[in-house]
Amino acid sequence: MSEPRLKIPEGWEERAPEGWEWSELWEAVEVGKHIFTDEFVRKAIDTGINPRTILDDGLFPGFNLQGDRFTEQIIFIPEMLITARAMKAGLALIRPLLAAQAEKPIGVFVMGTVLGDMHDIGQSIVAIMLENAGFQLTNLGTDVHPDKFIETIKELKADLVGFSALLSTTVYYQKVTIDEIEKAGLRDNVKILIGGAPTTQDWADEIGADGWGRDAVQAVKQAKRLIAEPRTAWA
Amino acid sequence: METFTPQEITIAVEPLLRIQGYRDLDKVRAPIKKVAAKMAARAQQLAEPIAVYRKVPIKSVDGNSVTLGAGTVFHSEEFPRFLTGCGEVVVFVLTIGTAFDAEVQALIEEDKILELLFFENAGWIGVESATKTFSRHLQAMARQQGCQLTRRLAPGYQNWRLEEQANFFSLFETGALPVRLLESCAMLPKMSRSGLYGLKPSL
Repeated sequence: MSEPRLKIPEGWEERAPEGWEWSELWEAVEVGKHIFTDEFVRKAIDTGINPRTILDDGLFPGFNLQGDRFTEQIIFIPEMLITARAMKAGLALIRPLLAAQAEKPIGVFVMGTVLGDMHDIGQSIVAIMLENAGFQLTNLGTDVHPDKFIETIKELKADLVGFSALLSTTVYYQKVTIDEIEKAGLRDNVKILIGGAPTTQDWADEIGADGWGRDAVQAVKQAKRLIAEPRTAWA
Repeated sequence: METFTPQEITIAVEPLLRIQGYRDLDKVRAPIKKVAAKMAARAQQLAEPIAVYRKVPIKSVDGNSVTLGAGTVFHSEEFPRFLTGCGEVVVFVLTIGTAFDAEVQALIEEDKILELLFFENAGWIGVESATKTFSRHLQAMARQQGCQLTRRLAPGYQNWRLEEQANFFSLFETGALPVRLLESCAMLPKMSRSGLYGLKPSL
């Protein structure tokens, strides 16, 4: 197991004003100083730095470093959440500016816990990570009927949908929900990601999901992979 | 139908941190420890554990199904292993109360995700602790009648389909339970547990 290192964005100096330093923000996001992050991002905006540059050069390095550490099991979910909170504080300032520049979210993601399952926390963590990664996220909560997934997928013209399940018996509803999406004629429009403690890659393959997120960080990686894959465009 | 109120439930910080994967608790960052401690204390404060239970005779254990006195049939691959030789089962519904759901909702609305993580974990530790206390109560009761308690079995686990939860709840008097069953077979309050124990005569 190797200790992941901070990946400093190549050429960041050319995209920042002379004398500008991101290192304090990288560290703030890494250790989860959300108030400092908010203040620093405001300063960057006031300085006139492009919001996309603030996001890519300022916010993502610390966030990605923690994601790598989480994958290596050097840190655990609580540290990841503290980092995510700081990231979110910065993103809250950046997002409207990106929208004003006509930058679209990287994808529209609908998620929820399947019918019969009231477990919330796992999918809440995935939700915050997906939002931080740039997805427009709608979280339908727990105990979600397949019809509700279908209705929301249609309404939002979703690119991806994710189902979580924590009980060994409710994972069955992941299959039911996929079957219902298929019957509704939406299967080619939307990529499907599943997760939850009893799930595996084999289960994902068996029920016809497009991806399986072992944990929140992997779910984001899978979502980014799937969004790049071809699918039928919404009418 | 009888009611039992578990008095000694414990929601401690250590297991909360261990659930998250920490082995050396001295190395856990102070802000994380602080939130975990706060949520453990909050959960302990809000917990109002109660269990409602009754004994039901077993008519037969046949293949993977068990038929209870009133004719209710349940299915699980585990039944033959655990319920063969049992004369009765104790069916129960247990919760640590509605205040947890309200607190979870408040934490979601306030976007306090770290607090939510620890609070939800604390809730399940509370349910586990209440179940252990309840189980000890049943063990004492079983000993008095020359029986021992089997492992706990529950709809939603051990290949016992969650859909049988509706039949399971029909074993109790309507309206007398602290837990409500939703159409989807999930329970409210969320921090609740249903299940049964077999009562097997001691050798």
